[in-house]
Amino acid sequence: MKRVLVANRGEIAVRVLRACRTLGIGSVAVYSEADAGARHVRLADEAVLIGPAPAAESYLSIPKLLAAARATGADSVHPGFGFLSENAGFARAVEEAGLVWIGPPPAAIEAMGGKIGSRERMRAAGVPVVPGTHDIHAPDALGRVGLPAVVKASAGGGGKGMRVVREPAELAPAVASCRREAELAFGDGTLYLERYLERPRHIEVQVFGDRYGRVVALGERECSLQRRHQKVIEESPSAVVSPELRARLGAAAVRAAAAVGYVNAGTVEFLLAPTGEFYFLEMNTRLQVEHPVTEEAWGLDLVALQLAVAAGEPLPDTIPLAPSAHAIEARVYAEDAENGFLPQTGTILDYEEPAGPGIRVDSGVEKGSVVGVDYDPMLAKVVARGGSREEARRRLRAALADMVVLGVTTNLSYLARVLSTDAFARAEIDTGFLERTELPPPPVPPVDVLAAAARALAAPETAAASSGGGAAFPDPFAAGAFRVLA
Amino acid sequence: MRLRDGATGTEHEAVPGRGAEPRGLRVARSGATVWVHFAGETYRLTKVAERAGAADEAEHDLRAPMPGTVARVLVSEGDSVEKGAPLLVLTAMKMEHEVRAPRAGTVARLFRSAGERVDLGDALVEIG
Repeated sequence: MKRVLVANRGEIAVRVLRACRTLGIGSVAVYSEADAGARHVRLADEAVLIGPAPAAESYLSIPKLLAAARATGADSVHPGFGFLSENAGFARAVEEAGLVWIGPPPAAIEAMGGKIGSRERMRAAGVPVVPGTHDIHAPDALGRVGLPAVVKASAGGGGKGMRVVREPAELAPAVASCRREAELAFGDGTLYLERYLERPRHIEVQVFGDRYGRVVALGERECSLQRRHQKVIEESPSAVVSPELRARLGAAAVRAAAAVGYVNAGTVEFLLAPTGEFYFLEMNTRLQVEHPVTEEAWGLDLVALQLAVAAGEPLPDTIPLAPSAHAIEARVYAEDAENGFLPQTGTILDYEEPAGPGIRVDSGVEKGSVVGVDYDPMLAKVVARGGSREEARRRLRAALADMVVLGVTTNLSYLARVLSTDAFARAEIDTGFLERTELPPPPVPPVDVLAAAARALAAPETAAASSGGGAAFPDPFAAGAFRVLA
Repeated sequence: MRLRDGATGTEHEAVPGRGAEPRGLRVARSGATVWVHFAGETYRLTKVAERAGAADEAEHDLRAPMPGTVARVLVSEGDSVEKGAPLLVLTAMKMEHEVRAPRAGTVARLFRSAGERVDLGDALVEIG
C-alpha cells in the first residue's frame, strides 16, 4: 500500500490523512465544490474535485470515487465513517477495481447490515439477544422471557401498543388491552413478548480482526448520552464495567465478529441492563466517530492499525489487555441547543481549539470555514484523557470553555453544562439521561459582553467580519418538531 | 441599542461604553448579529430592529427557520389552514423539519416549491 484515497471529508478525512502521513504513506483527498478550501484538501499529497456540493453527486458517487483513484494511481481506499463506509456495493467495487478496501470484507458488511437478520445470526452464534417470543400464550412464555417484560404490537412502533408487565398476574390484562389497541392503531393484533430493559446503558465493544483469523476486543465505550439516537458524549472505559464484565462483553463481541468472518475495525453494540445482563443491538462495520476515546484510554492508533491490517499484517502482539487511562469525548455540533437543536450554518469568523495536558481535538474546520447545509453538522470532537474519570471530566469541561467558535452557533455551552451535572459526575447515566435531565439555564450575558457587542454593532462592519448580511433570526418558537431521517 | 440574547431569548439594553475590551474577550460580527466569547461562554446577540414595519411583515410571512431544501409542500394557494397545520417540510443535514402555520388563515402565496433550496430567513408562505 503506497497511496491511500480517502473517500470522505471533514474531521475523519483529516484524521485518516494524518495517519497516512505518520506512516509515510502517500494520500489522495477528494472534495466537492463546497469543500475546495477545506482542511482535508490541503493535508493530502493530491486532491481531486469529484463534483458539486450535494453528497449524492460527489462523496456518494461510486463511479467518481473510482475514477479519482484511477487518475491518481491510488492503490487503496479508506471510507472513513458515514457516506459509503457501510456500503457493501462500494467495498466490492473497490476490490473489483483491484484496489485494497481498508475495512471489513463486503460479505461481513452485508451479514450485519439488516437488523433482524443480524440478530438471528447472533442468536445462532451464541451472542445474547434480548429474549422474546411470538408464542405469547404458551404457559412458559413469561418464564422464558423473564420479568419485567413488555407486550408489543408486532406492527407497532413509537411506543404505541406497548404494555410493561412487572408481575405474572399483569400479563393477561396487558395482552387483552394491547391487542385491542394494536387492532385499532395498526389493523393487526399480532403481539410479541420481550424482556423489558429499564434505564439501559449503551455499551459498545471495539473489535479488531486480522486476515489470519485472529479477532481481539479492545474494551468498551459507553455511549449512553444520546439525543434522538445521536451520540453526544462518549467515554472509555465505562464506570460500571468491571474487569470481569469487560471480559464477558469482549468474549461476546469477538464471537459476534468471528461469526461473520470479520476483518479490520468494527464495533459491536450492546444494551446493558442495571442487573448486569447485556444484549446484542447491532454491529457497525466501520471505524466509529467515537474511536478516539478507545485510542486515548488504551494508548492505540486505530487508524494506523486499520492500514496495517489492510496491508496484510497480523495484529501486533503489543496490544494491551486493559485500559490505562480514562477518556471522555464531546461532539461539537453546529446546532442551537436552546432552540430545539436546529442545525446552524454560517462562516466561522473566529476559531481556537483548546489545548493542555490530556486534551485532543479532532476537527475538520478552522477560521473561515463555511458550515453549509449539505453535510453533517459535527464540527469537531474534543477528547480529554485523565488518570481517573473525574480528572478526564474536569479537563474536558475546561477545554470546552476554552474553545472559541464564533460566527456559527454551537452546542459548546450545552456540552459543558451536561458535564457539570452531579448525575454525570457520579456516572449515573443511561440512554434516557439527556431527554430526562433538567440542565441549569444558559447564563444571561454580563454587562461587559453586552457593551462589547454594542461596540461591534456601532462600528461600520468590516469586510473581514462580514458574511451574509443582516438577516434577522426568525422566531425560534415558530419551529416545529425535528426528526432525524432514517 | 437593544440586543436579544440567542440562548435565553431575553432582550437587553446595551451601551457601547468606552475603554479597552475586558481581558480575553473575543468578538465577531456578521450583519446584525455579534458573537462574543468571554469567561468560558459563547454568546450570540442580535440587534433588535427599530419598531417600524418589520414586525408587521413578520406577522404575514412565514420565513425559513433554517437553511435547507424544500422536501414537500403540503398546501396549495387558497387553502384555509388551522393554527399549527403543517405547511411544508424542510430538510437539512439529515434532519427533517415541519414548518407549521403560526395562526389560522388562508394560504395567500407560496414562495417556494418542492426541491428548491432556501436560506435562513427566506419567505416561504404568506398567510392572508
